[in-house]
Order: sequence, then structure tokens, then C-alpha cells
Amino acid sequence: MTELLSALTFTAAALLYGGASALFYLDVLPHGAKGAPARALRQPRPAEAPRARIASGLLCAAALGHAAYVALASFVAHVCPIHSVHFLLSVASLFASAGFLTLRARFRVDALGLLVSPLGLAFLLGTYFLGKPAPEPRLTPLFITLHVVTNLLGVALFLLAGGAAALYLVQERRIKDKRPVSRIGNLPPLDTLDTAEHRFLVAGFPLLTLGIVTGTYWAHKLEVGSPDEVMRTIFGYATWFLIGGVLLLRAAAGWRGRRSAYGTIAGLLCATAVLVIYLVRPSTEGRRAGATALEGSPVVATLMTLVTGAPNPGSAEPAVEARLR
Amino acid sequence: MIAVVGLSHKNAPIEVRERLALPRASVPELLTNLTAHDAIGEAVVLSTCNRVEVYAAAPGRGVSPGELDKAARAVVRALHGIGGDGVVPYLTSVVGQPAVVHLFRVAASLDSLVVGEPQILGQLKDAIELAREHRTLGAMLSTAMHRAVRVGKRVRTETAIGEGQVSVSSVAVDLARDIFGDLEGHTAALIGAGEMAEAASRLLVRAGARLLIVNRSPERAAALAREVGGEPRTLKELESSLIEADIVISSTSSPGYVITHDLVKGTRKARRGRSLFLIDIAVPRDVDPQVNKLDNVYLYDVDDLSRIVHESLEGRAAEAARAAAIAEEEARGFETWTLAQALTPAIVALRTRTRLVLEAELTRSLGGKLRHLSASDRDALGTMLDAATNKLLHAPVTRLRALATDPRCEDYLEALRDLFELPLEEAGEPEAAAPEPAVSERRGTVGGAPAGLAVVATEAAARR
Repeated sequence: MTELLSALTFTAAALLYGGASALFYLDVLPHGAKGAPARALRQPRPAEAPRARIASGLLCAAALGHAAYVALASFVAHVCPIHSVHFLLSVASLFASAGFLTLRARFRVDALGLLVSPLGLAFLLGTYFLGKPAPEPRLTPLFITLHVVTNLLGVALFLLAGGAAALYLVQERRIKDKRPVSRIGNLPPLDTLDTAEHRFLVAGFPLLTLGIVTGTYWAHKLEVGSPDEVMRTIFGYATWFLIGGVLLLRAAAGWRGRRSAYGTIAGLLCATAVLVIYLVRPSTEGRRAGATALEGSPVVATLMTLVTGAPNPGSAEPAVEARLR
Repeated sequence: MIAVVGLSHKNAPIEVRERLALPRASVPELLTNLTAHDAIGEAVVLSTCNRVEVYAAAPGRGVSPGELDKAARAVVRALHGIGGDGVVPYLTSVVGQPAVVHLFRVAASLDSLVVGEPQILGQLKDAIELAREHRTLGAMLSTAMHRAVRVGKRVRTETAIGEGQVSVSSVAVDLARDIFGDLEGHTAALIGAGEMAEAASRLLVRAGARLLIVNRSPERAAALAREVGGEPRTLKELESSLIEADIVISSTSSPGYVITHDLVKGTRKARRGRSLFLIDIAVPRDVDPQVNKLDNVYLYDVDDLSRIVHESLEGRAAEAARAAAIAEEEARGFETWTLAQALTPAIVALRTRTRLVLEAELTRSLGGKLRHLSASDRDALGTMLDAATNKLLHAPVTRLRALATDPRCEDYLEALRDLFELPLEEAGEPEAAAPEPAVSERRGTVGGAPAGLAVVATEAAARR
């Protein structure tokens, strides 16, 4: 039953993320040439356009479904969610979704949903490859709170900053190249995107700094030395230096606009590299243990059970399997 | 008939149009030079930011294609002398009825970058007035221009082409919003003056922007500041204004760049990377195009803005078609008038010649064999001759009038002059001096021409 619920929440979250992504995309699409309103003097676009509002609702529901799935998947595997990397990695995208939903009206950056929704979907589907949630005994609650959660919060804000930077570059190029109005689309103004990017960076940088400091302390205590752990550390520091550099140059040398956007995206890529290394590590370890990612995935396990009627060999709940038969 | 020679946004980029951009003060000299040429009897120069066109008519009646071609070639040479070799490939030359259609379409704003824009009619009226002041406006062009203005007014009254107007100014403000979002709290600087620039400034002020007026003349800056609402600045404060402003609208009459690449680059440090939006409405351009390559600087000239407007107006085809129909209708009316003008002197000359011949014979007879006739008999004889003349000429005159819209009309006139040795007469008064037909008469058409006009013009000429 739990596995069924887990599969259902997974499917629902995936569909909701997809729907939100599609609606956000339609919201930023330009009007067609025929029947388009003449580009007369008009009032600024209202923040609460109906389509954007519905898309945001879908994103909210998708994020809740995502969180529910991860919790259920951890329950199926009999692992405390907080102790599970499986759960923690999804937190980054959930924080990004929460941050976007909270701040979109303030910054008038509905277009960011175009990036946040697919990101949530990507992280959700990423759990597909993670296999079963596995406990990490080395992760103490304090460590998780100070290092992991702050880092993930910071990454979530950097995701939003990176999204704003990417949209800035698209909009800036179109205005610079003087492309026709019909193809510019309903993207936020340049200054709005630049301001949002900066504020997301400012909010996320202290969290990243705390994460870096605590990570440095625990790395010494945990005596990490494997190649992936070293790579994570390097990319983590690179992220901090890049984002810090962007903020410093903006304050001291007036680095705004395109330069700031490129720096933000570079920092985000480094932060993404850290998450990717986290994602890859459980999968490779699972394969070394002889299990494939597919076999370990609770979603696939449930679907296989439903289709074939055979018990899931990896299931930790024989009683559940007996009920299904 | 008329000829038109020139270039516009449709066939020449702004770099070429700049070479022919004539300040108002230079137009009288060009008008004088044009009409000094043997082939050109009348001239009007229309010089705007989007076109430079010379409308010309041949001396005298000058309706033959050959005479109009000569006039057009003379205009080309004159414009070549101003703009150099670079403008010649872009000059287009149209003579005869197509030239009239073009003039009427220009007046109807159908040929404008912003279809339906109201400025062109005022610009055309200014050009007409200037030609009138310098006596380069004769009967042919005066009538053509008078009708062109009437076309412009009819189009604005009878179609919706000017409604919900999208203008260069409103597009500029929209682009500013694409860059800055809400304009409240932002600063705009207006450099120079000009109708379009002032319109854009008013829109920006209405949108909440603070306005700086930068002008070479402190008095003009102060007057503009009072009019549109802003702070006056002198041209010496240009650099500081560039640092302060987020949006700059430039529309000066300077022949060179007012805002150079180095000037903008030098302000970047003080601006601390803030975005700068430059709108260059001037022709020749005021802002160095290289400025657009700088980070966080966005430059749009009049061609860029107008292209955006043009694309946004694609849905106005129906109104534009109605306006084009009005222009065509009036052009046919002008053609009828032109032919009637050519016909009237011929008809009058034929009547006069016939009467003179008969009167000469009558006088000889009354002095000879008929000298015995009484005064009343002489009067009766004179009346008989008048009646006979009218009856004799009624058929050919009626037939000539019916041929007014026939393409062979010119040939018939030529034959008439040759056969009866009729003298060529000067063109009559321009149509503006004739009573305007009532609006209802304008609506009806005969063979495409307004019903009453040919008769009105002919009768007016016959009364003289």
C-alpha cells in the first residue's frame, strides 16, 4: 500500500511538474502576429496574470507531491528521511520552488517558473536513478542542519538566481539585437531580472558560506578522501568563490547585467556539479553492490509488482507483498 | 501632371537618407535652384526624417511624358549635387499619374513608416507654404498639393487608420519598460527638440519618469521644460545628464554625432553599470551606432523604432485599404482636372478662332455689299452668327469634353491645334481659386472621376 502510494505520488508530482512547466512556457510565449494587440502605450504587465497564477498553483501542488513521494519512499525503505541523501537532494529543488512561489509576486518574475518547474521535474526523475533511499550513519542531526540544509537552501536560491540570470541573457540579447516585438515574448524587464538575480545571490551567499565553513570542519572530522568527496569539496569552494566574486565586483566595480549573469551561471554550474556528484555516488555504489538502479527504485518496484503480480524481491515489507497477491 | 524624385525609408537606409537630410533653412535655396532650370517650372521639397522628395512640374502646361521626364532628370541632377554619388542608386523617379498617386498616398500616411501617423500632413503643409513663399508653386503643383491635403483630411475623417495610434514615441516608451520595468523614479533626458522627441518625453513624464531638457539654447530649454514638465539643462551639462539619466532621447539638428562612443564609455564608471537606453530620433543621427556595442547600453534609432511600429500595425490592412481607395479616387479626379485644364484653352481657342474668322467676314461684308443694312438688321446678323458658331462647335466641344478621361485625349488635342492652327495658352488659375464643389458632388463618379468637377473647372475657365 505504501509502495502504491509512493508510486502514485511520484506520478502525480511528475504530471503536475509537467503541467506547470507547460503553462509557464505558454505564459512567456509572445503573441502571434495576427490578432496581436498593437503595441500601444500600455500599463506594466500585472504580476498576477491568470495563466501564471494557475501554473504557480500547479507547481505548488507538484512540490507537495514531490515531498510526499520522497517521504513515502523513505518510509518504504525504512529510512528516516532526514538521514537519507535521497531526501536531502530533493530538498534543493523543493526549496527553490518554495522560494519562487513566495517571492514571485514581490519581484514580478513569473517567467522564472519556466526554469523552476522543469528543475523540480528533473530532481524528481533523478530519484528514479537513485535507487532505494539508504541511511547515512555518519550524518549527525547537527551536521545535517548546519551543513546540508544551509547548503541546500543556498543552492535553491542560487538556482533562482541562475534562472534569473539566464532569462536576463536571453532578454538582453533580444533587445540588443533589436529583434521584432512579436518574437521578444513576455519576459520580465531587464532591470527586474538583474535585481532579482542580485537579491537571490545576496540571500543565498551567507547560507553557502555557513555550509562551506561547516563542511570544511566536518570534512576534517569525517576524514573524507575519496575522489568524489574531493571533487565535491573543490566544486563547493569554487561555487563560493565565484558567487562571492560576483557580489564583490558588483559592489565595488559596478558589475551588473551581462557580466554578473555569466558569473552567476558559472557559480550555479559549480553548485550543480556538487549535487550531481551526490546523485551519481549512490547509484555507482549500488551498482558496485550488484544491484541496479532500476531494481532499487521503489517506483519501479511497485509498478513491477502491479504489472506482474510477482513479489518485489527488494521489498522490506513481506506483509504488504502478501496482501497484493 | 507632376513628377516626383527622391528617396525614403522604403528604399534607402538611414545612412543614405542622412546625406540628403535638408535643414529647413536650406530648402529655399534648393527650390530656387530647381526652378531656375529650364525643364522645371514648379517645385515643392518635402524633407522629413523618413524621406526627401521633390515634387516638380514642367513649365507651362507641361503634361507630356517627355517634358515630365526632363523635369525629373533635372531634379535627379540637383539631388546628386547635394548628396553625392552615394544617393543616386537610391533615388526613385516617378512621373505622370503614378506620381500623383504617390503624392496622395504620402499625404494619407500610407507611405509612412508608421501608417496612419498624423505628422506627415503637417510636414506636407509646411513644404507647400515654403514653396508658396518662394514662388515656386504654380497652378499644377498648387492644385496637386491642395488635393493631397484634402486626401489626408479625408483619410483621417473617413477611416480609422489613425485610431489607437501606435507611434514611434509610444514604442520608445514600451522599450524603456522592457528594460527598466516601471518607469517611476527613473530619469529621462531630452536632447534637442522636435515633435517626435517631445511626444516621447511627454509619454515618459506621464509614465512617472523625471525629465531633463538639454538644449543648446538655455531659453529654449527653459521653455520646453515649462511645456512638457522637466528641468532645463544646457548642452555643457550633457555628460552629467548622461550619467544621471536612464533614458536619453536625442533629436538635434546637428550634422554630426552629439553623443559619441567615447562620451558614453566615459560615463560608465560613474553610472556604475546601470542600464542606459538611447533613442536617436534625429536624421542625421545624433548617436554613434558603435555605442550599442557597449555593455548595458541599448541604442535604437528612428529606423529601428519604426520597424517595430510597422510590424505591430500589420493588422490594420482593412483601414489602409480604405485609405488607399480614397487616394486612388482623388488621383483619378486630379487626372480629370488636368485633362480638363488642357481641354479648356483648346475649346476656348477654337470658339475664339471661329468667331474671329466669322466676325472678320461679317465686318467686310457689312462694309461692302451689305452696307445698306440697318442697325437692327446688323444685330440680327450678329446673333445669327453666334448661334451658327455655337451649333457648329457644339458637337466637337461635347465630344472633346467626353474624351477628358480617354487616354487618346492628348492626341485629339494635338490634332485640333494642328488642324485649326490654335495658339498654345498659359495654364489657368490653380484649382484652389475655383469654388469647391459640394461634398455630395465629390462622392459621385463618372468613369472614375467626380461627376461635377470637370464641368465646374471648364465653366470657370470659360467665364474668364
